[in-house]
Amino acid sequence: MTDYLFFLLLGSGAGAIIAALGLGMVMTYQGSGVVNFSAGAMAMWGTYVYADLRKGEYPFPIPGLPDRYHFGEDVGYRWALILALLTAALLGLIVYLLIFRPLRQAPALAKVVASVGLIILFITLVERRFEDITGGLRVDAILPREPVTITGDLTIPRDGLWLLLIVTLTAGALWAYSKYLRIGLATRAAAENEKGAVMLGYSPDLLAGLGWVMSSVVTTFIAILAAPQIQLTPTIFTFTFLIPALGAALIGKFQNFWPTLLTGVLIGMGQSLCTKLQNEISWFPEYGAREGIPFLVIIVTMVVLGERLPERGAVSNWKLPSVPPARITPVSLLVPTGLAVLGLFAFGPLWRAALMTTVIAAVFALSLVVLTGFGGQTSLAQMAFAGVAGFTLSKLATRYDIPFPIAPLLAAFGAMIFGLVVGIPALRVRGTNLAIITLAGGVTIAEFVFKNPAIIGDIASGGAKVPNPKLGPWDFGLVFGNKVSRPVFGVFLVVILILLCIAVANIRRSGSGRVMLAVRGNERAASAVGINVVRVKMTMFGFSSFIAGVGGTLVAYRFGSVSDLSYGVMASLTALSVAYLGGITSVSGAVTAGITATAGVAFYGMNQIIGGMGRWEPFIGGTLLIFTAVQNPEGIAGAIRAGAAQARLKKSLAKAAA
Amino acid sequence: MKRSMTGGSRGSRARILAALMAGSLIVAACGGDDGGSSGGDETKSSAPASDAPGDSAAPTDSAAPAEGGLASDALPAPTGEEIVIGLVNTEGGAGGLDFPDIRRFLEAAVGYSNQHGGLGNRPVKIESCVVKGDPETSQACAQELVGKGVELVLIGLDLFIDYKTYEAAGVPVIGVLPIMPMDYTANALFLTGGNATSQSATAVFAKDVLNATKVAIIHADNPGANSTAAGLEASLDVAGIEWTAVKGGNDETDAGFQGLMRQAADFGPDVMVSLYSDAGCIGTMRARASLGIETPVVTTSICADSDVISAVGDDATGWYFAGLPKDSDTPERALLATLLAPVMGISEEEVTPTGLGLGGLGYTMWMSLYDYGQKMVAAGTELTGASLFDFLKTSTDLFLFGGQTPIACGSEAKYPAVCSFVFPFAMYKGDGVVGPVDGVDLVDSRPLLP
Repeated sequence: MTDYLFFLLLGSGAGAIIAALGLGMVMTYQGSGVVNFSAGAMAMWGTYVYADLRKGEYPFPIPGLPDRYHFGEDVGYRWALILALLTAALLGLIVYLLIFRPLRQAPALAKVVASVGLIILFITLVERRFEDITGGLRVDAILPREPVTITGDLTIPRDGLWLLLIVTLTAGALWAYSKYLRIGLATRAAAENEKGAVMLGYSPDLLAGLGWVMSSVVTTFIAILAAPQIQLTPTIFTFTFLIPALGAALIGKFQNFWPTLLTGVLIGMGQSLCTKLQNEISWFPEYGAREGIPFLVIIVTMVVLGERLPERGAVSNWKLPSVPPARITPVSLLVPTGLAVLGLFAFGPLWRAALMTTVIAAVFALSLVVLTGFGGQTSLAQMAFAGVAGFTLSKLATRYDIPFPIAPLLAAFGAMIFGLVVGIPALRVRGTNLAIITLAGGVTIAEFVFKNPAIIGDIASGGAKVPNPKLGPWDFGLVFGNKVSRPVFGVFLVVILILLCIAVANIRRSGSGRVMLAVRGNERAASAVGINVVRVKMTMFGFSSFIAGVGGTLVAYRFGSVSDLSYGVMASLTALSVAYLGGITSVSGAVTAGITATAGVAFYGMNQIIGGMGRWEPFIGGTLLIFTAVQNPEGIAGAIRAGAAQARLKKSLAKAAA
Repeated sequence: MKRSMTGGSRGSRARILAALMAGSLIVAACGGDDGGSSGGDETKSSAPASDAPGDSAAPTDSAAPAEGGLASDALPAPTGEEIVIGLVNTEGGAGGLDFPDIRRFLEAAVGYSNQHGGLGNRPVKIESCVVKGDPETSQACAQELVGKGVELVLIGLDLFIDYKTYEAAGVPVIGVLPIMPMDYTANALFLTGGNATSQSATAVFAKDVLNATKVAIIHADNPGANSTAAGLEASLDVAGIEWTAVKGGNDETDAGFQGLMRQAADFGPDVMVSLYSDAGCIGTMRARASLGIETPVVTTSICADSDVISAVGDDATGWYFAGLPKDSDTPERALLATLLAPVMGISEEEVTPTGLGLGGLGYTMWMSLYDYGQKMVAAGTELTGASLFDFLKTSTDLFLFGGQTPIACGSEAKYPAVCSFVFPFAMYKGDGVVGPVDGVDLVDSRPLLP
């Protein structure tokens, strides 16, 4: 028993960090309705600022400016803390004013995209400003570290307990603020009903800005206190602690501090306990249990509690862009196909590679068009589904010699099964909550599937290899014999994309598409007119993950092998961002997304014209992502459509005037 | 350890960290003494290391010192036809995948060789291609380099090497560090052995030097570390050693490391093996000390980094480091300092083999190939990309630059792409000093390779 208690208590520090990030997200959500996926990244920057100040330097976050201001010596604990927290406050304010305030009326997805942009931006900032530091930064102890003996043989370091105490007090203070202070009450009221808060004379802007500043300061403060207990890396707050923190905040419904605190602490303690259970219990999963099990629990909890989860009563909540009608005409079909095929044969291998990237990215975007564009559901696990298909294809083709096209079809069906399972919570929750649950589902797949050497291939098996797609004597592989970069593989990709585009466009035109749009518009109303919402949602998740699975097999065929590195959480977030920027409600938007994808034709063409952007390239990419999300939340295809509509209107007005 | 690596996306970063273990062999190459012996007071390990140098015949590489300098210093500028060589390296990728030092250090070494004999008397032009740590850019680089007609492709660090393209175009590939599972069996050659060999060497060390019968492995639960641990576990199985594996997170708190060490100690092992690197070194060392565990721990040379040792002090007592040789004043070491000091922006005195980070991979790879080129010229063999590849693949008397680590490409059928199989070991000796393990020379991984 003492052993179990030992492991639980050892997890108190990690639990406190998770809880603190969760509390920060609750504050942000209460104030502005934004689930801030970049909360960890913002806290990370503040912590690096603190660490640098302790070396007598202050890092500037803007490329082109001098790297640092040199104080000459350690500014001391207090000044470092004050300056770092002021930086955090300023950061919170700037991020809100420049990014999330303009996005107030934007679809929630635009906010997710902006968050992803911020994550990329902060990670690159740390990497560039602290590039001489390999493998992590150690920060001198702030909290007492001496071991404390709780019972006879139960001795643990006390800094974790101190941190837990401080986070608990912080949660208490935030709770009291929101319960007893007028402004806190107003923020809570706004969280319940933003319209009501406006009618009572409170400025949602002020409440939101305050929430962002407080959130940034609180999470940075806890991160600084926690930093001596960890090794500071760009990812530790950004991903490692943030993802479970999202789960904690979700359990707290992004409104309640105490459940968020409790869940965060329990996750940290549970993960610590897994270390013991993994070796004590024979049936305990060998891989991925530490991070996978908490998410499984969260998913199950949310499915059970789903109906009690309110959506934020915002002025415009989870508004999705309009869905244009899908018209399949010879021109709309043949022109892009012809251009793509022409490009494949006319250009060199590098342009060809960019075209192939574009086609595959468009397939992934199509999977989100069905689910998010048509159905209003969100999935942050698309790349995990793709990974499932990729590894399944490898096993089917190499171990069981199942030929093309049966193997990739079966693999895509495998992805579909995972998609259906991850989509089950969609029957109970929606919007941002669903996004987070699917993120948890993606993490769970990554933990239990992609960590297992028996599945992903180890050194002994040479990894997960994939043979060329072949139909009888025809080999469609990218590389065959002594031929490299064969255009025929590109044509193969284009054919698959065209088939999927036609299928998706036909869904939009068919009764199924209208049913999906009805569910997207109003589930209750759809149900009232006899639409089986459960079946529609499951159909959308199934078809969407099937398409993502097809994308996964195309990736595998292209590279001849599958790697877990391609299918992480960040890949799913990026896929969603790209799809959103292209235009998530239409087939043309998916194709546009493919064109603008990293390493796609637009990216490659730009690199050819203006050259590479060097070591700041990810930073510039993140900034552009944010800028586009703010300026053009309907996506590029939406903007083109709007432009075309305006031109038509102008023309008809001119005609009428004439 | 400074430079080159600054975090990264969870999976890829962890994968590279796991692979760094093998990168430690670079230090062996740079810091090893001439002649291949690790010191007069040392004897061979009881581990079967029949191919390892050190006990009798010293390696006869051309890099042997000549009157205080290297023989190559006296070579004139090359007079043959220019050879164009492709270099693929990961730089500027998202999530910390940024290793420009590999290219910069290699280019510094190429600059030297172009003034002193070239590569087999051929001046060298490097066509550098940068990948971003994703399969798309790796494939694009392969197609670009093939299109440019390079004779040979060198891999600095590339997670997704496009072997199919290189093979179809008939361009040989030589790398320095296999990372992904497919690297080990690819039609390529890697001068070091990666995790597969370093873990087997660790098993040999645990069995023959530390007399282990029970081993507890501590590692992160990520794909790279799981794969590495699976290799170690297979080696321990071959050795008949009972083992358990304790898995932690990628990023643990210091308290979390205590949990891992305590759980490992509960198994009652004779030896612990920590696969944590980087951030985990300090955490595991402190945790072991604070829990009062006295079981010896074998880990990677990354944990012998001066920053780590200065942070933990004598908490490192009882820790052994795979792949860390004795640091000696040799002509190779002097050349290293001369060539890399300007690139690193520090004085020659400040250049140490342990301070090179991953950049050392590029330097050692090139200097080794440069050395082999001289040998080919001496043997009257015309140097081309293909002939260099074949020479490396078939020769049995080559050593990694520095003369300590023997090259035996494909000597293990299961690992046809791997060229070296032996590792030096070091231990913490108190007062912040890490030095060779008394009585142990190079440890051969082959007897326990799974």
